[in-house]
Amino acid sequence: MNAIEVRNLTVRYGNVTAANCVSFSVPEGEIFGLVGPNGAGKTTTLKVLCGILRPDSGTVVVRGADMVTQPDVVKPQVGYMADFFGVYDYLTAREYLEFFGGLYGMREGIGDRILAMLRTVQLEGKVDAFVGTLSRGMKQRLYFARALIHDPDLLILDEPASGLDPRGRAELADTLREVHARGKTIIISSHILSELQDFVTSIGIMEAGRLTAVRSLRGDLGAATRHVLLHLVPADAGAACALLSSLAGVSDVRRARDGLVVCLPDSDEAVAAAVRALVSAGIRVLLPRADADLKEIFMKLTKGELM
Amino acid sequence: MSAAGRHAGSGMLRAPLLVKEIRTRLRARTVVISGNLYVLALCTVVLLGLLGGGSVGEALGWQIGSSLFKTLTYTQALLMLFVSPLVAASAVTGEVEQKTWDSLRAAPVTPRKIIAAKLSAATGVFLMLIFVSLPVASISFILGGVAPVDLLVVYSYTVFCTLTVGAMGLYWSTRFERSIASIPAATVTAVLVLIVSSPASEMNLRSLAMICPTEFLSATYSDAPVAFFGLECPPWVPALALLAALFACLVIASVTRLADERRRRHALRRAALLVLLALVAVFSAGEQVTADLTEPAARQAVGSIATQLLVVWMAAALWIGSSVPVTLGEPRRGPGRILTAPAGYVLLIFAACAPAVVASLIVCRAGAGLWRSSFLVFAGPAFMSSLTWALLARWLAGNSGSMRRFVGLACASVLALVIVVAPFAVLSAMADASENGEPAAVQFASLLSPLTAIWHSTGAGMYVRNLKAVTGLLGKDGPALATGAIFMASALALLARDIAAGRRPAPRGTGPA
Repeated sequence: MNAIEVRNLTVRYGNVTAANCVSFSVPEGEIFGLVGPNGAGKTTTLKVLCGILRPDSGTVVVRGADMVTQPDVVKPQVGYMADFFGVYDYLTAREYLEFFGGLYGMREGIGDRILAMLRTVQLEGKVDAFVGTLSRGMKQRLYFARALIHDPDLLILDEPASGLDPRGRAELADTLREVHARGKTIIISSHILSELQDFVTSIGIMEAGRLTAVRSLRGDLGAATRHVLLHLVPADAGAACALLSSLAGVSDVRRARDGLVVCLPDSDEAVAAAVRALVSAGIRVLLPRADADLKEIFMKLTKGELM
Repeated sequence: MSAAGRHAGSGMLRAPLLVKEIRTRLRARTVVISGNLYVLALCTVVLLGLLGGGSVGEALGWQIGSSLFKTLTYTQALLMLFVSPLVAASAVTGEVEQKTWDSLRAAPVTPRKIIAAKLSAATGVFLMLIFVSLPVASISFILGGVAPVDLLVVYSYTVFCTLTVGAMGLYWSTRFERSIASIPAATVTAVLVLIVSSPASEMNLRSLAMICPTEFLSATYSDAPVAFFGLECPPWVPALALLAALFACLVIASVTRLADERRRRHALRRAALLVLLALVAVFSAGEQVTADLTEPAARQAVGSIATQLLVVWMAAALWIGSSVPVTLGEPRRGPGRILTAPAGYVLLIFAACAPAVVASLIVCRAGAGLWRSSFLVFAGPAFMSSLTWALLARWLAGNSGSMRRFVGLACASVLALVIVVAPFAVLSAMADASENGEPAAVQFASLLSPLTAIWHSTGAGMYVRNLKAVTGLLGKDGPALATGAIFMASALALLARDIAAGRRPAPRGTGPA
C-alpha cells in the first residue's frame, strides 16, 4: 500500500508555477528524499502534502484519504516539520508539547509521551524551561519532538537538519532511522545530498517546479554498485585507467582531482581485487590522510553534554 | 505517575488553543506595561475629575460622583476603542510573523476553532482591563450619584463595543501578513466607526448612532429614548443589537477568510454585508415610518430611510474597496467567478452605488437640503477613500497585479465616480424644477421612476445652472477632496513603484520553496 500518492499536483502563486504537474508515490515504510536546488518547489509540494496549502489542481491521497476533501482524516496521521519554524517562547517545553498533543486529541498518557519525546531529542533536562530560553538547536530539536508527539504514520520534514551542528545532524539521522525502523514513512527534503544519502531509500529530484526523476536507492544504485575513489600518483593515472577498465565487473572508470573514481560491484572483495591488480602492475595506490575529517574531530571533542 | 503525567488532565489538553493563547499573551512582558498604562490613564482622569469637582465647591457629593463616573466611562470607552484593535489585530499576523502559523495549520484544527480561541483570549484581556477599572470607578460609588443599573448598562455596552472592535481587529489580522499593517488598519476602522456613526445622530439616525460610544453614553445619561423598529426603547437596545450584528458579520468574515486562504472565497462575507445593509434598511423603516404620518412627513421619512442606506453604503465602501487586492488574485472558475472576478468587483461597486443614487433621488424630491448637501459632501470623498484604501490595501497585502488590470480598475473607478456624481447634478436640477411649482403628480412620478427624472433634467439650461451649484457645493468640501487626492496620489506612487520593481510576493505563508 502506498503511504502517499501525488497525482498531477500543480500550485501557482499568481503567474509563478511553484509545482507543475508533480506526480509520485511513496510506499509504506520508505524514506523518500525530495532534493533539488533552492526554489525548486520542494517546500510548496510538502506544504500541500500536509494540508497547509491547497493545490490548484491534482490530488494528494495519504493512506487512502484525500487531503483536500478529508483533511480531518489525513492531518492526524501526518507530522510536519517546516524549514523556517517558530516556537512559542512563553510556553515551557512541556506546555509546548502538551499544546500540540492537545490539538491532535491526545489525552491519556501524554505526560509520559512528552517525557519520552524530550528524551529522544535529548532535552529531558529542559522539561520546565521556557522555550524562549533554549538555544536555536534546542528549539529545533523541540520542534522535531512536536512533529513526533502524536506518533504519526507519515513524517514530512522540510530541511530538518539546517541549523543543526554535526552532532545534532548525526542524532537526527539516528532518530530518523529509529522512527523508520518502527515502520513509519518519512518524506524529507533537502538541497544537500550528503545529508540524505545515508538513510533515504528512494529519492525524487525537483527542478523549476517539476519532478524530473524518481529513483529507488535500494536496487540498482544502492545495492548493486559501489563508487570508490582510488588515490594515485598523477603520472600513473593513465595506466591505471586502462588497467581498471579491463577488469571484470568494473562498469565505469573516470578521472577525479585526487585519482580515479571506479564503479565496482558492491563488495569488499571486488575493491580488494582492483587494488591488488594495480599494485601487481606497479601502480602506486596512495592512502589518504586520516586527519582531514573535521566532522570526526568535532564528534570526538564534543560529548553532547551541553544540554 | 511521572511528573509530566500529572499534567495529563490540564486545561492545555481540554482547550489547547485557548489556554495557549491566554498563557502566551499574559506571560509577555508588554502585558504588564500596557495594563499599568491603562490604569494610570484612568486614574489621571479620575484625579482631574476630582480636582475639577472640588473647585466647583458648591457641587454636592453625588453630583461630583455622577460627573466622575460619566467622565470615566467616556474615557474608558474611547480608550478601549484604541486598545482593543491593538490587542486583537496581531492575533493571526503574530503567528505568521513568529513562523508558528504553518505548524498550527498542519494540525487538525479548523479555522472556526482558531478564530474562537483568538477571540476568546482577546476577550479575556478586554475583560481584565475593564475589570481593573472597577476599583477606580468605585471612587464615584463612594460619592454617590451612580445607580447599579447605570453601571450594568454602561459596562455591558463597553464589553460589547470592545468585543466588536476586537473582532474588527481580528478580521484585519486575517487579511494582512504583518501586524504593522493590520494594527493601523484596525485602528483606522475603529476611528471611522466613531466618525461615521456620530453624524448619523444629526440625520435622524439615532439608533444607528448608538454604535458610537460617545453617542450612546450621552443618550444614556440624558435618559433619551431611541426609536428602534418603530418602538421607543432605551439606547442600549439598538446599541447591543447593532453591535451584535456587526460582531457576527466580522466573525463570519474572519472564519471565511481563514477557511480557504488561497482561493479566498468571499461570497459569504459579501452576503453578510448585504444582510447587514438589508437589516439596517428594515429597522430604519420601522424607526421612521408610522401609520399616522401625513404625506409630507411620509416623504420626509422615506428620504430619511434612503439617507440611512446612503450612510451605511459610505461606511461599507471601505470594506468593499478593501476586497480589491483579494479579488484580483482569485481564480476564475465556476459560477463563483461573477463575484470573484475584477468585473464582479466593479459590478459590486455599482451595485453599492445604486442605493446611494436612488437615495439621492428620493432625498432631493423630499426637498431636504441638508441631506442633499450631505450626499455631496460625503459620497465623493467616501468613494475616493474607498479607492485609496483599496490601493493601499493592495500594496500592503503585497499582491500587485499587472498594469493592465490596474488601469482597468482605475478607469472603472473614475467611471463609477462620474456615475455617482452626475445623477446628482440631474437630480439637483429636478429639485429646482420642483421648487418652481411643477404639479405634484410629476413630482410623485419622478420619485418612482429614474427615467422620469432624467426626462425632467433634459432642460439644458437648468442642468448647466445646477451643475454650477453642484460645483459650488463640491468646492466647499475642498479640504476633504484634497486630502483624498493626496492619499490617492501616494497610493498610486507606491503601486507604480511596486509594479515597476516587478515585485510579486506570494500570499500569506505560501512562499515558493
